[in-house]
Amino acid sequence: MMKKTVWTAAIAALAVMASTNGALASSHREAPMIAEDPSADNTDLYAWVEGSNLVILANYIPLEEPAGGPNFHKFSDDVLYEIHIARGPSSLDDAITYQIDFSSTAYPTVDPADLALPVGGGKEFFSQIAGSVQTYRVTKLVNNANPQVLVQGAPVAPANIGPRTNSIAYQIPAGTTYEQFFVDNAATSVIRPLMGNEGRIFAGPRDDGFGVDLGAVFDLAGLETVLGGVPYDNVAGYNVHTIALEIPLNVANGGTTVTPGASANQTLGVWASASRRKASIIRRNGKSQNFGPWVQVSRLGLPLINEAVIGLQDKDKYNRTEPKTDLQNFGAYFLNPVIVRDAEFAGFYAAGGPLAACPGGPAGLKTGRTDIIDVINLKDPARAIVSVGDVLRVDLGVASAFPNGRKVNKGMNTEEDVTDVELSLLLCKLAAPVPDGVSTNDATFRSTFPYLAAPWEGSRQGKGEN
Amino acid sequence: MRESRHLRLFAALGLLCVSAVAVGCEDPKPNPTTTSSGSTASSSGGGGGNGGSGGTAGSGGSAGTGGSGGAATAQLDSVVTDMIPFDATPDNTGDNVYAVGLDKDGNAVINQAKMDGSTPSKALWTGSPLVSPINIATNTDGQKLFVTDPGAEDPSGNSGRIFTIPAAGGSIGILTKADGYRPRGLEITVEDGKDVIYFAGTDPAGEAGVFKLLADDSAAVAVVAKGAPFHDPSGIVVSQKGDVYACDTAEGPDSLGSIIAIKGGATSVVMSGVRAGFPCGVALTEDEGRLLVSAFEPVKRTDTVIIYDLTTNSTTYFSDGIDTFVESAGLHRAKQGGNTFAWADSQAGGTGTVFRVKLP
Repeated sequence: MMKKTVWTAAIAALAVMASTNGALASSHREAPMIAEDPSADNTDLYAWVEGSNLVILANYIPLEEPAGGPNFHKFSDDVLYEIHIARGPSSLDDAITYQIDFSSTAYPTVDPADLALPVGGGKEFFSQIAGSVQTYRVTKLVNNANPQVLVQGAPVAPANIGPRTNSIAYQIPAGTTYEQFFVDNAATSVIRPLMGNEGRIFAGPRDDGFGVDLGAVFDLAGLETVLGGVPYDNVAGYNVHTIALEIPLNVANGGTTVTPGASANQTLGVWASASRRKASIIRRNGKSQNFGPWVQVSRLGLPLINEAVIGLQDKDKYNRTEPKTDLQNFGAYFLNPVIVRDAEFAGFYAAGGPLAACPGGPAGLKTGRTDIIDVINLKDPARAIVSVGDVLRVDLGVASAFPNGRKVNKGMNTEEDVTDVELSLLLCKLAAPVPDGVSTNDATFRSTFPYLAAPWEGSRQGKGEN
Repeated sequence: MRESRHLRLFAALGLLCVSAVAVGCEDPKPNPTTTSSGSTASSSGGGGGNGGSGGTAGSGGSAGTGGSGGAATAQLDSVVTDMIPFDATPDNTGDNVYAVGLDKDGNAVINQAKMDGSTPSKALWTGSPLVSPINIATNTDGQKLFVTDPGAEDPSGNSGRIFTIPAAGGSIGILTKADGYRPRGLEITVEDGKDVIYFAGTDPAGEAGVFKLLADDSAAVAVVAKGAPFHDPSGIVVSQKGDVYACDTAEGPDSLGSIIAIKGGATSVVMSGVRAGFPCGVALTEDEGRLLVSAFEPVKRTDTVIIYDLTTNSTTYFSDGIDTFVESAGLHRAKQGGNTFAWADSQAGGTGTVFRVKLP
């Protein structure tokens, strides 16, 4: 009896998440092993056609507390971050790969007993004045070959720590904000062009664009809206680290001008990943060595797949594998969505239930679901796509709208309701919407690149400030 | 205990890329660009029926040069299945195999077993001072084993060590002259009548490369080559005339591995785009005409042994029978055992397996 109550709450919770309190975070701490490795944890991916460009936003590092100093969150120098783009109807091999490789200078070693030395260097405990600078290099591969460095030594936007840091450490002029200095003002912006008119890139902290009552959801789906209470957006006020790419459409299309209209050949499969070296030795001198070939430890294509479709027993394997083997490795999860069985158990398909009108009923919805694969792969009469895998499809010739791309709503505090679409697909073959509503973020998305809102500031916006 | 499979090792270029699509078949790449007879992709694949199915337009140049019945038989036998092996080497004659890794309890071990798989492996050494033994080689008379352990604690506690132990078992010794060099792959050869250890490592100044020292630890480490292009050298092999081939697991600008040759003190990248095993074993065939590399098949990402013809700069993959495994590891040839190799997969069969590979 108690079990049934839990599941009822669970299904209701999924509906509520899609309705009143924003979309479920796509992939924060979604698998056991990556939960222990935040700086390599790929949390979200957006990709959409924006004017004459393709925009890709790959987020990493979940739930960054803005005040989490003195060693604030940063991209890891030991992780290889990658954005993968497959193209066309039949292959999920990379047509283009962007490898983003970070490195930080060592803290200058200084004698802590030398009182004549100025402030700064490795003797300090304030990281922002200790003299280490992180930069990154972007390498582009075409068909897994011909590596070409598009930018190197590019600066990373630093942590948004507070007004004194802005003034003293970052030397931002009075009257200029962190965001204006590091993003908007051309002279000081960290946005960098990619060599050869290949677009531009931003790397640094941003507001996490999601909103969800994490605490209630993960308390066995005991949402306040179900059990009676006030829901909170537990992602509010947290940051992530974003790699944002803006790529001319013809570059994304392999050098060919994009022809307007739906086309399988112009449809991309985008996914992002993070890899670590295979072996690590932790030394007694405070250092460690990483060596061996790169091993992928996190990936993300469509929102929610590893979080809500793949079972715990396979989540780590999912992060180690590539989309092109998803059908053979994880096909059973797509064809037999567990959530339908949960909904059936909860009575949602019964007469009078919220999903009673879904085509085929639970018997037809809990197995043989090739329709799920067709929808997420954009297999329709306009596009004869045959490859199958967890990638975010983007047809370069058509305005993006999930599941054809995934975008933020510029200048607004909403994003596309991807959870609605995916739940409706899984539970009801898109025949009926799950309860719809407003999904709001706690910040307004920028109208310009890199689109995600400025990061929350540690000094005045850290947890406990309000 | 013993599982034997007879595999058909086709001479046809492209065969061993049979499951690969074109892109994968381009990878790895001889470097600098060599004759197009190389790199594996060959949609028309010779007359051998099983010739490469991979190639699409333009990749890989001319079709496979063999394949028309040129089949030979290679033999793959599982020998050690009761440990997690990172590297393994036959003795000189190929009668015994020695492996380093972890036992079923997670202890660092050096194990010995009969190469015919007739007996369970036995530990020659277990535990301290070993921490993470990663590579093993025999000396030239086969009486001593040398083991690198980049996690072992030298006096600084930070730089790994090279150990030695009699092949028949006994106490473990330390080559203290190598302290500070973070040793990985190693091979032993004779120079001026003395056994010399060539090893991949990183010197105290932080420069990666290949170094050597006398196997009796009587003189300081000497540099064979270091600095660029070395980044993370793993397995190495030394030819009779002193050429060194090292697999660097992450040298390439594509973040993939490379094979680096050192000839007369000069380094060159002979193959790039290698999806390197770990450790990335390399070995030469008896005639030293082919270089074998422990790696992963570029598309399926399953185990393969790359066979690189040093004369034609062409590449084939030996994947048959091992293409369900995913942790390709160390590789060594029996010094006087013809083309008998020990090759390890650190996960095959559950806990990992050492295989005997016999090439024709």
